[in-house]
Amino acid sequence: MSYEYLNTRLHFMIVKLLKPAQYEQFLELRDLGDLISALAETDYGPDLERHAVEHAEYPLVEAALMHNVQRHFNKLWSMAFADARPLVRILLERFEVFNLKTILRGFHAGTDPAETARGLFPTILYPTSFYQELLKRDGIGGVIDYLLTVGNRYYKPLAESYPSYEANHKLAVLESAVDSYYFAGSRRVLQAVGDENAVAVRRTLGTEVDLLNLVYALRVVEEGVESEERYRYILDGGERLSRAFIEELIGSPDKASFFRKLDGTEYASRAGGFEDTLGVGEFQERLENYLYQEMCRYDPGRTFDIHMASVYVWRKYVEMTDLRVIASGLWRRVPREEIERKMIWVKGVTPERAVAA
Amino acid sequence: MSRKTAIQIAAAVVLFNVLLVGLAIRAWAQAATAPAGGLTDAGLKTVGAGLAFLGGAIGTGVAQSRIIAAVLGAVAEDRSQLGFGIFLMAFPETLVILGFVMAFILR
Repeated sequence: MSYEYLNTRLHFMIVKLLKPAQYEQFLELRDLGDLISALAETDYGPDLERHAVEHAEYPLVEAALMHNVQRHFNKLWSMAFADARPLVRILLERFEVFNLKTILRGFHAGTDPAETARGLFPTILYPTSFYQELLKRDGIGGVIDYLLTVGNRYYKPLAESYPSYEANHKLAVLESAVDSYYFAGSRRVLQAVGDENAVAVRRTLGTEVDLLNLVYALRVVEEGVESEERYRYILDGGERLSRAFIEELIGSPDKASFFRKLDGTEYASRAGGFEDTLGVGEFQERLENYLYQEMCRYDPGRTFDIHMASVYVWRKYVEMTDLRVIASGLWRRVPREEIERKMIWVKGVTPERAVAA
Repeated sequence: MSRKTAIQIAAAVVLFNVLLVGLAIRAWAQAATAPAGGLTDAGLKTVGAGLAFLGGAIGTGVAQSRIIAAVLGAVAEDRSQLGFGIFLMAFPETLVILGFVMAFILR
């Protein structure tokens, strides 16, 4: 098996991730210049140095962060051979899906492409130029045409759902199509691999499916959608919640009933329960927080399986996101409380104090 | 460079094992000159000695295959781990040595 080699290297890479004390130190800094100096002393030093001629201030931090994440993900990709490779691909492809959805959301809302670009996560399976080209399109139709031109496989689900999007102008149609395609394709690969590592990755994906379905269900209940169309966008492959249960949630007459049904599930107990007045935004935030805690938690008993690669990928995502928030906050001179509010807090990864806050 | 060194060390360990097995086979071949007509006590002892050695060698092989992969990973990330890595790689050799000693006693 290839996991001894991969996981030993990953262990060293995890050790090099930022420590909670370093986040604390960054949050106490007064401006972006101080942050750049502090980051230069970390693993981000070579990346900052590389881009220092080309960029300055926030664009420098952004370029260094992008380069650093791509450098490490490329390293992970090159280290993962044999059985581990298709599983690592599934873990990394999640960010390609995230970026595609961000671009679709940007065009749907008419956001400035430069602003959308700032929300993209660094990826390695598709080149950066691919996303730059997508952002140059004139709309969602243009994005789909470009995907067809370059032979990208996400063309298929988007082309199939686009007429429906044009008819009702609901973004959920496209998002659900992309998600379904990714999850179904991943499940097929995992089934072919078929070992205990594939099961571990399937559980990770299943948890994400559950959370996406829950957010979707609450949105449907909140918006009072009555048509049968509402059941169409439920994703298959949930880990703990069946399709029938999600349908039952969607059929709830109001939010109070929705949360009552959800009460017995593990998600409700792990998230500390939900109030009846909770809006979709807050609900999604709490579920995402649960997801980050689960995915970043390292189980020392699982030294020789895919778990460590999964933990690394998620922790790197959290680190990149938090550094972006801190850098952007310091650059725009946002109060510390505001920065802290936007950060992702994960037990054992970020400072303990803030986890409780 | 560091990976190359680690591979060289791994190759040396494998060569050492092959030499050890070769020596053992030669010694047993000399001892096991069984008379015509079936198994003798001496023959059974030789088979037992062979099995004792075989068990130790298989155990060493299994342990080393995993340890060497992990050490290669550690040395690729941090060259200063090489010394400790060599110790870890050599550690399972105790199994084959114990097997060898047991085989020797049985003879």
